[in-house]
Amino acid sequence: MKNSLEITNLSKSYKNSSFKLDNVSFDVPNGSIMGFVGKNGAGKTTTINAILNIISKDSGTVNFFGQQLLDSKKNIRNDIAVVFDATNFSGNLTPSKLEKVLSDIYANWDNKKFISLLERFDLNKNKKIKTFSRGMSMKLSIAVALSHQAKLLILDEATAGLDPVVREEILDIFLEFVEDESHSILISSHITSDLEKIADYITFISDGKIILTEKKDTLIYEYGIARCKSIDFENLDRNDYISYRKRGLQTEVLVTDKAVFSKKYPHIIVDNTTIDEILILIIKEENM
Amino acid sequence: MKGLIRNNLYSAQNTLLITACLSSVIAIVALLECLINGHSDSLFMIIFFQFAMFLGLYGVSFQQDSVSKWNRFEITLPIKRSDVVKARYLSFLIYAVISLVCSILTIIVVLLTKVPINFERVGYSISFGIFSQLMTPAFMYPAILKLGYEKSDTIMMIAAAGSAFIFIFVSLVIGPFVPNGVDANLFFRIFGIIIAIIMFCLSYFVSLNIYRKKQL
Repeated sequence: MKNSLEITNLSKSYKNSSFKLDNVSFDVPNGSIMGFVGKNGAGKTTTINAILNIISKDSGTVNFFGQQLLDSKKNIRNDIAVVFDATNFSGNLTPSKLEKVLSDIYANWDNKKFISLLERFDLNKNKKIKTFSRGMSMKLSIAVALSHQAKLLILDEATAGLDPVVREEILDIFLEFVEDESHSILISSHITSDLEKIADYITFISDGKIILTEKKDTLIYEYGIARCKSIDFENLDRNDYISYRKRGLQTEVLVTDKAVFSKKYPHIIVDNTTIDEILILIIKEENM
Repeated sequence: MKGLIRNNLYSAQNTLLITACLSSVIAIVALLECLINGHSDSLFMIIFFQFAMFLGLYGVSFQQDSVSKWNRFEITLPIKRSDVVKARYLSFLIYAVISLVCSILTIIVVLLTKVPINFERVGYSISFGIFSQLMTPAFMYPAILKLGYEKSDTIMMIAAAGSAFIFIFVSLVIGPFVPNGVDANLFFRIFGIIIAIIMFCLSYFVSLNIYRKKQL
């Protein structure tokens, strides 16, 4: 399977901050949706800024469709669409004027598609963007992203702050987008329920380090949380779990294969897990 | 790049319209002076104000960009960083041409009344206008890139005041350098405009250098 995006050993540090991206590596395969998960300040936006050359990187390589994103390579950017956590267009513009601006910039701008998306999203093309609600603004950003025949969508907290109805609508659009197997999406979010609905893979980041990249189905159907008493926990083989946390008298243990674990420790209850729970467990300080 | 210039102009569109309206109102004052008093003594001041009003445009699109964070999105578009800087300087030139056209229209309106015009003083205002329209963005844009879009208002005012100071300073010190037999005023005006053009061009390269390294 080819990758739309390959990030290898991406590092970035700041002079006045102890935070750094530490050898971030992961790929976004063609035709897939990669969820990028981490708590606030984990490095999601810094990673996205670094891969898009919004900030410089200290080291590492980033390849889009097998090529590095250099300033001179405008063509690659025609294939990339970016949606940030807020609309980035001047409030004085209307969608109609924005269309004129962007049709002069994108080589493959599709005006019919843009208009049809505006209609689908019920956005007035002659209304100033500054009068739009957050939901409307995000819909506009997504309409722009989908109107220039991009192959890779990069979304940074694009669904944050939206009501569930709008979020659901937007998630459906993302699923439609990846129906074409040459398309893919990298979506950073801390609303993990959204990612559970649409992502094929999940990458977890914590303190600037990639902790885990895994297929979503594996996480949901094979990973589990064993709920142990202290004595049971002490008797566990360290190789049988990846992290744990103590909650009152109980210890929650994250296991990678609940079936195998249950067979080995039949007296311990193993529950299904969610991406949220996995995230909490793998970033807990008690991790080994 | 056309799209970027278009975006800059759309961002400043409201202010541009307001400024053009105010400029027209001031032009009417000049016309009334001619019709009522039969002279155009304040024409040079009116032209001076017209140019000064248009300086406000330079800060407006930066404010808009600061609020919308357009510059962060802009860098993800299929354009080179040099295109962003080029589009800015071309937008500055468009604003400068609009302000010059407004002033020339005012002079034409006054000329139509057949009231005599003091071209010496009007010429001074126009040369100051051209000088400030080039010099202000030449100082302002690199400073904004370096210090941040959110400080654009303050930087714009300092740049405008700085360009006025330089214009006056040059007028005071240029005397001994005027060649014999040459009209000193004309020499100063042409010299001032040439300095402003050189500074505008230099500023482009400085801005380009800053923007290429800038982390948005």
